[in-house]
Amino acid sequence: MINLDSYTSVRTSLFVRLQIDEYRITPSAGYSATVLRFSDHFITKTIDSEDYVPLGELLNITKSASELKSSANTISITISGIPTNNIAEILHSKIKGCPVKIYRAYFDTSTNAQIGTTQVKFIGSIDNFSFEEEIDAIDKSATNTINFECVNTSDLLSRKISGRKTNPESMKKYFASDTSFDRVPNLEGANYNFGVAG
Amino acid sequence: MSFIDTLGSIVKGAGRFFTSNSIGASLAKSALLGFALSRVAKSIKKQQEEQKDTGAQIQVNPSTDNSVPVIYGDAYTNGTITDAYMSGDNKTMWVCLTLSEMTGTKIDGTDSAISFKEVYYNGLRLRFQEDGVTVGTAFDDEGNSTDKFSGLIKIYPYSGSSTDPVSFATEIAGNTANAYDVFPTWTSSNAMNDLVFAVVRITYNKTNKVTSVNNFRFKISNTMTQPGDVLFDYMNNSRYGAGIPEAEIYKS
Repeated sequence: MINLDSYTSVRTSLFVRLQIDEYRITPSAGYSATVLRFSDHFITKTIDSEDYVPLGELLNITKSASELKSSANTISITISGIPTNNIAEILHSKIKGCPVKIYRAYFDTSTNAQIGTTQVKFIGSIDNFSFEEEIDAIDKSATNTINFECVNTSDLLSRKISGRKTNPESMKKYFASDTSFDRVPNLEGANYNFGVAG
Repeated sequence: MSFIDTLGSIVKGAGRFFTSNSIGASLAKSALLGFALSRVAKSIKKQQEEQKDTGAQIQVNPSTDNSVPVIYGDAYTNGTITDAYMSGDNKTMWVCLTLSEMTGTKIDGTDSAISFKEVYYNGLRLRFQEDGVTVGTAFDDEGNSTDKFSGLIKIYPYSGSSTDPVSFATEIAGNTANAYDVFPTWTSSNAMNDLVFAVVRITYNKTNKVTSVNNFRFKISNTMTQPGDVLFDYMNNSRYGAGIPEAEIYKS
């Protein structure tokens, strides 16, 4: 817990770390892993040896509940001012399900120095995303707003249905070449005349 | 005169009736003889019917909706049949009984291990012959033994995959064959990855009541028994658990 008693004015900044395992810029490009790091801070900030791009007012993150017990929680990350030709990066990359980590840091407004250490605010995954287009008719240009809906791990677990079932699809989901459950659909309800003279 | 004396006099009267040469007595004797012959004929017919073996119709229980169970500590399980095969003469069946998922590592990083402790058939605990897979003697709860299943059932246990044969804890010798070399229709692609299972070969015998493949019960034991290890495994495993990355679980 950071003690802010001795400060007359503080500001907080949020830092978002979005890890995308299958990222590409164009539909034909190959996938590669990348990490997007950005913040609503006004200068580049380094956390754990990683630089976070300052987006300032272009980034908005909704409030999140902080409770003692683990509870399902969602949060929205909105980035505005994205040029139309950059939308492809999001559309063609596999964003859903990517892990998201949001940090919070406190700064002394008079010195811009960080107060204490960086705190983890939210850990979860991207559940969905959406676009909103803003057209400027006079300039004949458009910018976009992207909204990432994130769910925390607790929410994710409450939705999770796991476990291998005794059918070929379920087996091959985990072991693609394993044919051990292939005959189960054919055996369902099958009768054997065990012991009857053949 | 007591009621005993009364009954005695009735029986004596009936005896005199059958031993006399009256028409009524002759008719009664003929009726009794006919009844006796009828009973004898019925008895012979019943014996013949009993000797004619009509086999047993077995419905195996696989379902595409069954989940593979996850077992920690010691547990008894019947398993679920995931494959079955019957010989051309209908006298021998092979079934694969899938018992449990193979669990992961403990918090200290050591692998969990699942072993076979006991197996029961029709409620009787089975012991094996020298080869460790052919059933020899069966015991009931009171320690009484019988050899009625001897040689009729073979059980091949596996822990991990088709190439991980194991032995029952009660036996010195045990299974050493790959599962796909035991089950008639299997190939190496029947890998049974990360599964604990048993291949059972059963020979039909009505006299000894070996007529079903559905009456097996296994006692298996997982070395993962501590609540912390179990919770960690369930949270971390991506196949049957929550799939939370290990780095995000505080284990200390």
